[in-house]
Amino acid sequence: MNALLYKDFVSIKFTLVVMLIMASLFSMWMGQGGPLSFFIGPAIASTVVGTSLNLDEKAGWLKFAVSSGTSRKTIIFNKLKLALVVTLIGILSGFVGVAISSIDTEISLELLDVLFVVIFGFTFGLFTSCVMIFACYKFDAGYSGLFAAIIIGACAGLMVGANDLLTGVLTDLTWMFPILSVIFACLGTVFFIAGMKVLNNKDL
Amino acid sequence: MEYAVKATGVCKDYGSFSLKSVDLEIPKGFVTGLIGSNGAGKSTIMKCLTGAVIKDSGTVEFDDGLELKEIGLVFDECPFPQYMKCEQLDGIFTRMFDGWDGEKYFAHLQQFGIDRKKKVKDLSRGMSMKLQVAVAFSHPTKLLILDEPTAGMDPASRDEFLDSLREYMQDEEHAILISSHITTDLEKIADYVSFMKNGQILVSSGKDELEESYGLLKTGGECPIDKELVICSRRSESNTVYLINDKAGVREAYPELVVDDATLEDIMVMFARGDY
Repeated sequence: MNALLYKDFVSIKFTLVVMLIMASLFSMWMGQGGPLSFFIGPAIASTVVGTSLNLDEKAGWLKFAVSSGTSRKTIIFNKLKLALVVTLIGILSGFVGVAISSIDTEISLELLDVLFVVIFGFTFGLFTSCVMIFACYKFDAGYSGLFAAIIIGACAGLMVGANDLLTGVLTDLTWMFPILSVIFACLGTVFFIAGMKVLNNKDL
Repeated sequence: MEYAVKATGVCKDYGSFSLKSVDLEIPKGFVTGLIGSNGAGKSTIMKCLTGAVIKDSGTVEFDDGLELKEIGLVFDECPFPQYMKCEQLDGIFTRMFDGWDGEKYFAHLQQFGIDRKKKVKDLSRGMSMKLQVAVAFSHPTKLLILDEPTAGMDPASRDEFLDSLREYMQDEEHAILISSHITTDLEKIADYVSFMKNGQILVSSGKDELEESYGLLKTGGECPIDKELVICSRRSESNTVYLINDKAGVREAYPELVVDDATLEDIMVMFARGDY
């Protein structure tokens, strides 16, 4: 593990543990509702990335890291790596929650459905994290909590709204996940590149 | 003379404040002191040197072979992760710096009386400055850039810190750039001094030459000497003080006048508050 990831994981371990517990509990609670459970964790991932960016800004870490020869590109790619790892952990904790909740129920998920949902959860987690990275570098990482609430709230609202709209029209929504995955991956890339541009021109 | 870093014509405009074509040379084997009031631009030029602040124009040249990783840094605020324990920082810097010496780091923590189990956020200002010094001294560096490193340190700790800098300078390949409001520290350690005001370097010179050439002339009435010899003046209710930069010349030309020696603090105050 490199220096930046090590620093992030040691600094945010408390937030990370809380996130895992929350993701598992929510997944257990929502497990009976099916696929939605798998992207609660990824949604919370942006909160963890935001916390890490906020801690960096409060301490003035970026100034030290850049002055010590760490490139701005390396810094932002490490935040992406953090987002990746946290999103994966979030998905795993989602699985744990669903697995526990399905012990005494008769829920069974198709393998292909699960795969679609996992891929969607993964791209969704990266998308929200990239939006968080951009917002924290562009504005003020001190507002990361607010950004997280807006990002997760907006995404949840959109998905619930879309679900309500489409449920009556279409019988099977699973095929939507690959399409949404591609859309979120593209949007995430756009926000990540924008975040990189902001950081490259930022005085620390 | 060989330079560790040489900045030429560095400009940075923030709107309300700007660095105006700053030239700064940090020679190898010497300690360069940066003096100026708050907001003079000392921290900004230091950050321009390391790339933390993106300059609008100008050049910063490092000596061949000098990399940013080989610069030891002390900032005016401790930049380390606030929720980490001092001992956990070893884990970061082992991965960050080639040649990081963990044993040396823990020895410095002990020397400075820093509890390794304490979190960075729980350290006092003086202790957090010492923590930065401990980190700067625990990996191989050729240049130290120190922004107000003695701020918050008690006199004994400051003295101990200055001794560490002297020891560091035993290697002629090393160089130090240090800013401080405590001019007595710079009098003890600096070989060269640059005065900054409003984003500009007013004077850069050897410290001994400055102390030899600058003087203070106090009079009750009109300026008794040729005004071209005066750099700036400061009027108070009882008298006017003139800062002059050819003390010996004035003493010779005006033997009836008393020209006092000027300390770095006198010069700084006159540059900062004097009328030009």
